[in-house]
Amino acid sequence: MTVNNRVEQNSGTQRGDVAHRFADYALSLTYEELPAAVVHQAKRSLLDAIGCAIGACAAPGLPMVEAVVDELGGKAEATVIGSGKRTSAANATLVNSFLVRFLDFNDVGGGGHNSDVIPTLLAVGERVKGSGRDVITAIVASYELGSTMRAGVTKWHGWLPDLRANFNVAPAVGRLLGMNVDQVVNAIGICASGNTSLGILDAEGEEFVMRKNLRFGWGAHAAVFACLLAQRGGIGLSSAFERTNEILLESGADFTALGDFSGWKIMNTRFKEIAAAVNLHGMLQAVLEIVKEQDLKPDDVAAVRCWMRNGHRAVPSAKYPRTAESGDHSGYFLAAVAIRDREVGVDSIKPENFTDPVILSLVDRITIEADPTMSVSPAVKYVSKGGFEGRAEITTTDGRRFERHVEDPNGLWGSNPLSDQELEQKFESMASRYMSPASIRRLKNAIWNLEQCSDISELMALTAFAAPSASAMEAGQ
Amino acid sequence: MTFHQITWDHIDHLHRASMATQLAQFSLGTNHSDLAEDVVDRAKGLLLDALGRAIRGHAAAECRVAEDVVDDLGGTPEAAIFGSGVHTNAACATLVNSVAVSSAFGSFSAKAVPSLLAVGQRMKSSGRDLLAATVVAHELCARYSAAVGGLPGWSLETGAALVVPAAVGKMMNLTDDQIANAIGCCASGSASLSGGEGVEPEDDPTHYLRFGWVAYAAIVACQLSRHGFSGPPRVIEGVGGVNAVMFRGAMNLDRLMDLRGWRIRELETAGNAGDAYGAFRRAVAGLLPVDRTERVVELVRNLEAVEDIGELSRALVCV
Repeated sequence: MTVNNRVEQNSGTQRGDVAHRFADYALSLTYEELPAAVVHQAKRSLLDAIGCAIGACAAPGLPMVEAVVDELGGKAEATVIGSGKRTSAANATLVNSFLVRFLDFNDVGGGGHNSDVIPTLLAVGERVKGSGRDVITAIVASYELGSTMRAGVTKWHGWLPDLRANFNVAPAVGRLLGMNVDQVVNAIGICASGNTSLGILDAEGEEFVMRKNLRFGWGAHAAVFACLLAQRGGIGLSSAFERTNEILLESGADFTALGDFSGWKIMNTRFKEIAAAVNLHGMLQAVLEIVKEQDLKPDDVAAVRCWMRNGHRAVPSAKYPRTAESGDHSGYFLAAVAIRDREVGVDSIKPENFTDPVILSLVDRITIEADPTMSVSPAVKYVSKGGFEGRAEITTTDGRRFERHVEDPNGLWGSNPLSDQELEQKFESMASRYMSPASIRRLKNAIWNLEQCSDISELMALTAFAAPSASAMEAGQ
Repeated sequence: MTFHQITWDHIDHLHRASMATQLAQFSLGTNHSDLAEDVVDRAKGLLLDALGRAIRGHAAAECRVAEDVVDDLGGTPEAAIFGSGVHTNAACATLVNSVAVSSAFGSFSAKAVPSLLAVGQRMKSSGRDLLAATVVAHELCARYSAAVGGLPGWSLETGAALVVPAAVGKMMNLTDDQIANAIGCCASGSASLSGGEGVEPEDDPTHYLRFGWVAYAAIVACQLSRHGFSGPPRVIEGVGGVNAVMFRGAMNLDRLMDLRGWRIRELETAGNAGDAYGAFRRAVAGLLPVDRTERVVELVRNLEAVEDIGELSRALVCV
């Protein structure tokens, strides 16, 4: 009997509400029934997540979150990526989730940026001395449930889709902790009753702040607490999803989709080549291709016109960001960075860029317009309210005009997902700022061979590094 | 002035005018020296009511569960869990102690008291600081209740996300901007669903955790903000904020921001401090040793003279 059959058998009974279904699914899943491609995809997400976390080690908010974790204290049971500090699983979740999300460079799948959940599973895996297989299975469970949730909820009524953390973290953590179905259901109920993220953290009309990149981690931190409470008999909100649907989602959920566990949705996960909000990828790739091919410098550029399906956020901070969180969502700012640096990556949102005269001058030459004829990405119902398609037209000071239309940005939905080799290159570009080639090689090997790991702490030990490398220091990291 | 500077000044202006900042300024502007005697008397009554409930609730199964988890995770020993006297970090002590007060069906503002004691112990705050913070907590609880009363779906405890950062942020010596950030950090992720329409706390098996969890998050938010971490200051009135999303625009923001007068004077719980001493003794009888009971009574009676409220927390040990 497959895991899907087992969930189906439990559905339709008094235990058939969504929380029960999700708990059943996560606890029924076994490593042995995961196809090799699914295991491999989970490792790709893990590699990408750890790379993004390492790449974010210069995040302005990191010392702040780490300082608070130090103040809170806790049993030394899980590892903080980068510093290698040991703290409680809940605390490690908070720091490492913030790191994974900071660059907006992490994967697109599992209902959103689901690799936000991976730090939780690593931390709890360390706590219970779980194996690589345990963590892989938990990762897959979280992606499947996150995707299922996203398929069943398409309108969020001002809430963030990250509210899926209330429903897909506890089941994955619960299986690592050896909890039973009722305990996981109670953990979901505890999470859902008090940890939902408001849309203001990602709202069109507001400046983005540091808390934005802690939103999933905040929920995941709560999920660890909730699981530990439920494991000891703590009671959560009953019918938590149904209550969420009634109060938050205006009864709009599709319960058929929420019971569809067929296939392996993790296989739809895609990986970013550009460190930017997904809806900017098309136009930014178009800008990058033009400036590279034509060898354009900032002084060569007279005007830049860009198009994206829904147009750009129309708030002042979107054009002149002063925070990393607004910066990686600003098409104006990132197009200017793309012209100056010929890449949009880890360094794009460095604070000094927000006041850089070259970038500010370029921003004033950029316009972004809506083009409703552009396609809605097939990924929209899972990850984005807009499309990824984009177009750019650059006019030079000597009157030349170049145009590029990108329908299917590299790495995202469509025909060109990042290969393993490209993922490794992305990983190395971030890790090499802080780690030696030998350390990087050991870490990559440990991830690609995770199923052979008997204690996930062995992997996490490899994510620690003593200090930034000389090159990173030179780059002001 | 360049475009980007104009933009940033505009955003700063919006943040400085935010409701969260105004609540922070109310908190920072409320000092013990400005409080009338009867207001202080009511605050002492509220404190005693909360502490009595905490001791009564400490033995409840849900409180045992919470304390066990906190013990499991570990934490810097800076604040006491009432009843057991075990020390952990201020956030976790708040969580357990709020569960205890909730288990004994404390009022909305009584549930805030554990956060004030925990942070006060961490900061070695004085009795006067505690009294001022208690008044702030109650005043803001009253405004939040008035602003959302009767609106469906959400438990009142969601308001802890506005109240606790304001009250404990003052004790942590945060600035108004930092408190507003902390309110933003906390309130943007602490929407607390009710147990269902018409469900009384006695019939809701999940009521015990709501305030404590939000208060836990509030203290972490204050700690983050103290280090410079930014939250959305416009979390109450902004796009995608509490009013727009949780309450679909139905929150009465005028009532929330009407900060005139002392609502604590309307408090009926335990009457006044004079009655509250007797009520406290009755509440903890058989649970807290008599000498410690009298020590708590004495400390609260003379709270203005207490230099470090850790004394109060340390007296609340049952064993």
